[in-house]
Formats: sequence, structure tokens, C-alpha cells
Amino acid sequence: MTDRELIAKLKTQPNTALVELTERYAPLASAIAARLLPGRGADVEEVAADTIIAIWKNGDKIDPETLRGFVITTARNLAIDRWRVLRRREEVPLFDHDGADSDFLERTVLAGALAEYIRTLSPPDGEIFLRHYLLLETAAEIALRYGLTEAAVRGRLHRMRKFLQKEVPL
Amino acid sequence: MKDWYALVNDLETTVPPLDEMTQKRILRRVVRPKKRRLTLVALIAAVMMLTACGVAVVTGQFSHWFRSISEDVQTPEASQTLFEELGTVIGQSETVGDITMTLDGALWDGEYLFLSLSVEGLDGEGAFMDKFTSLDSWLTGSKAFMYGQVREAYPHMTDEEIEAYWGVLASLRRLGITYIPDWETGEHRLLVQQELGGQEEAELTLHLEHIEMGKETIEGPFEFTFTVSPKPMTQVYTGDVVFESGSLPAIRVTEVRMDPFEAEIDFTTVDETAEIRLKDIETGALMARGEETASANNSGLRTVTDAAGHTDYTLSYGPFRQIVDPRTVTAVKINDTWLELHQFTLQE
Repeated sequence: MTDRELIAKLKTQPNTALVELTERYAPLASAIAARLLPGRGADVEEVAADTIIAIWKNGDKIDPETLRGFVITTARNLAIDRWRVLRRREEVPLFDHDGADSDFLERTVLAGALAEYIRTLSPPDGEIFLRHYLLLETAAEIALRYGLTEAAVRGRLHRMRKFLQKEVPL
Repeated sequence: MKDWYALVNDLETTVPPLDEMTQKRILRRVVRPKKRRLTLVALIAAVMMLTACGVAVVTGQFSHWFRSISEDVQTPEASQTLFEELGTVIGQSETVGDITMTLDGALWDGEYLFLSLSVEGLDGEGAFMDKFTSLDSWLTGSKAFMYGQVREAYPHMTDEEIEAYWGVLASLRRLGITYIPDWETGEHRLLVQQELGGQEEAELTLHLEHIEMGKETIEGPFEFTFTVSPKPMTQVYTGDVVFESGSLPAIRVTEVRMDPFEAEIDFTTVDETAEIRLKDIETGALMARGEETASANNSGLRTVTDAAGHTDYTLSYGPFRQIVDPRTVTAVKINDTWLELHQFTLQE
């Protein structure tokens, strides 16, 4: 069943559609959340469940062609909300063990202007940015994927953050 | 945000598979969203306390067994810690014909006893989700224990009278039995409720037979013998507070006792000539965690008048339809006015 058919099924057979949505996208939502909330199973499950509920509530507005992107972005935002609370209580670690990264993640709004900027970046910088700040992959994981050193990935992220804070309204 | 969906939609990432239990838990959360979350620390502490007592605890079971009387039936797990403080795991099963009944657990605060049983083999199609009285079902304990129960229920009876009527008095009948179906899981559950005073561990026998629930009847008989300890949680407030509410004569409140299923208020009338009757007082409510909660099924008014004509009153509300953590109660409503507990001294 395609994502388009699954979204359509939310209206006609919502219970069955919810079960299938959960089977299809709960693992992805959980994986995203777990990167920011390590060892907090209940919080991760709640983020995953809230992500599925968000699909249900926004079914009319979601473009089925980018449903996976909706799941990633929604799970990411919900995980950050939870992480923000737990950070104040020092119950979760810094994002990728980096204070500047954590600060950027917590404060940066995913505005349209930022998306436009990301599109202008030469590859693989745009993807590096998206993988780190949307998919919440660590610099080490990204380095492995692109055949770079971890230091090189961190360097690119640092330069992008600097540019954004100066040139792009956030 | 739609720009972002398109940007990340096709990015491949590592997605570890979820095990079946985790998948089911997430689906359950989707179907029944939670408003409140039990803190993990409190839950772990409660589990450690019970396992240290040699009781095998499966996390979350009490809130499942006693869901219908939890503080908020939409989020029963939020009452898990409170239930564990009052609860005893029993876990006895019996099969009669096609029906298997399992006495899962008990709650006893020293005032009210609740027993939760799961029922397998029941059709349930014609059963009403309601409270029933089964004349053939009863609860009993040792003679010493039951003697105390009879004394409390019939304080005017002499020892000789109690002995003469012992066969009739030896068991507590008219148990409140509520049938509770879980439409989501298909589970059938019975909740047995009985007013039961006690301060020491008791060995009790529950006999269930011929329970008519609308169009469905459980014949049985099923019998369970188990041991349960009272776990009182009474919050006692003392003071000297004058309270007025509408047309109710002014009263002087000297003590308030809060339990998970009952509230009691001791008072006298400011005007010694005034008299208060139960009809003067409407069923009250409680204020807990900033919300009005726990309406009572009934209330009672006990009076003791001395030789000089001075009357002491005790007003009681209970049992509540939902459990209340007495430590969170801040006020009790009498008629339309709240009696604030901060005016009293909480006894340690």
C-alpha cells in the first residue's frame, strides 16, 4: 500500500490505518527520538505515538509524497521539546556531546528562509546539515557515510552555523 | 515546514526494527493518548519496595486491574504508584465449566476492600456494565476477624446475640460486584467492593456464585482464600474551624480524616440548640491537585449525644467512585462551600 492510499484510509478505516501507520513509521520516529533521548524508552515511545497521532490529525494537509519527511520532522521536533525539558534537569546528554551544537539545535527554528539556504549549499554540505539537525545523526555517523573524518564534518557544521547566525534570519 | 518535509523525505537513515512488545505499546499509546505521565523514578521506587517485600510485581498491573476506579480513567497508569501502596498481588485462578476466574489483586486501606478478577470464557454480549448484588456470593474471614466486623456493624448486639445468630452473621453478603469489559482487548473483569474495617492482616475467603449481570450469568461457584494486609493512608487534620454554608447551621469542625475512598468530618453545632440532619447536607466533593474530584456514592451522618444534650456529629462521604490520593486533597465541599484543609493541622 502506498503512503497516499494509507492517508486516504485514515478517513474510511481509521483503526486499520492507524495500525498500519504505526507498523510503517513508528520505527523511524523511534529511531529519530532515540538519538536525542538515549536510554529513555518511555519518552521515545511517547514521541513515536505522538508522531502517528500528528499524521492522523493532519491527514488532510499532508502531502502523501512527503509523508516520510513529515514523520522525520515531526518526530524530531517532538523529541527536541522533550529533550529541552530533560536538559534543564540534566537527565539527558548534550546533542552529539557538543555544547554549541546543542545550543543551535535547541534554538534554531526551521524557518522557510533556512530551508532555502540549505538548498543553495554545495553537496554534501546540505545533506550533512539535514542529517545532523533533522535526522539527528552524529558527526561520527555522517563522517562514515561520506568518507570524511569526524573533525571535517564538525568543521563544516561549525562553518554553516556561523554563516546562518550571521546571514540568515532565524 | 513543507519545505523541510521535501528536503528530508528521501534521505536514507538507519532505522533499527522495533520488537513486537514495543510496537504494541506504541500502538496502545496512539489509541489512548495520555494526559499525564507517571514519573519513571516514582514507578521504579514503588516496584523496588514491593519486590523487596517478596511480592512479584509486573509493572503497570495494578493500574490495569483497577482501571475503573483510578484517579483518571483515561490515564489509569497515573494511579499506579498509589495502587501499589495499597495493593496486594494475589494471582489465584479457578476454572468451573467454561469459565476461568483469576483473582489478580486487592486494594485495602483498612476501610474499603476492592478485589479485581479477570474472567475468561465469558461471552459478555448480554452483560450490563453495572454494579450487581449477588445474594449467593459472600466474603468471610476468621471468627475473630468477623466478630470485629459484626461488632462494628451492629454495636447494639450483645455477645450472646452474636453467637446465636453467628451462622447468619459469619459472612459479608451483598458484595458490590461490577462487570467491566475492555472493548479494546476483549478482556472481561469483575471488581468486587466491600466496606471492610481492619487494622491487621486477615485471611479472607471470597465465594462467588450465581452472579446475574443482565442477560449473562456466571454460575460458579468460585472460591478464593487469600491473605491481605490493610495499608492505611489516613490523613488526619485537627483544629477548631467555624464553617458556614448557605442554610446549614454554623458548625465547628474539629477533625477531618481523609482516606483514599472516604472522607469523614467531625463537628458540633455553634448554636448548641441547632440540630443537623442528613437531609441538610448534600453529597460533597473533594479538591485535589487543583481539580474538583471524587464525588461520593452516598454520605452518612453519625451522632452521639451525651447526658447533657451535647451532640457530636461525624459526616462521612464515600466510598468515592474513583480513588483519591488523600495526601493531595486540599478541600472538602459541604453543600456549596469548600472547607479548606489549610486551616487545620495535619497530624503526623
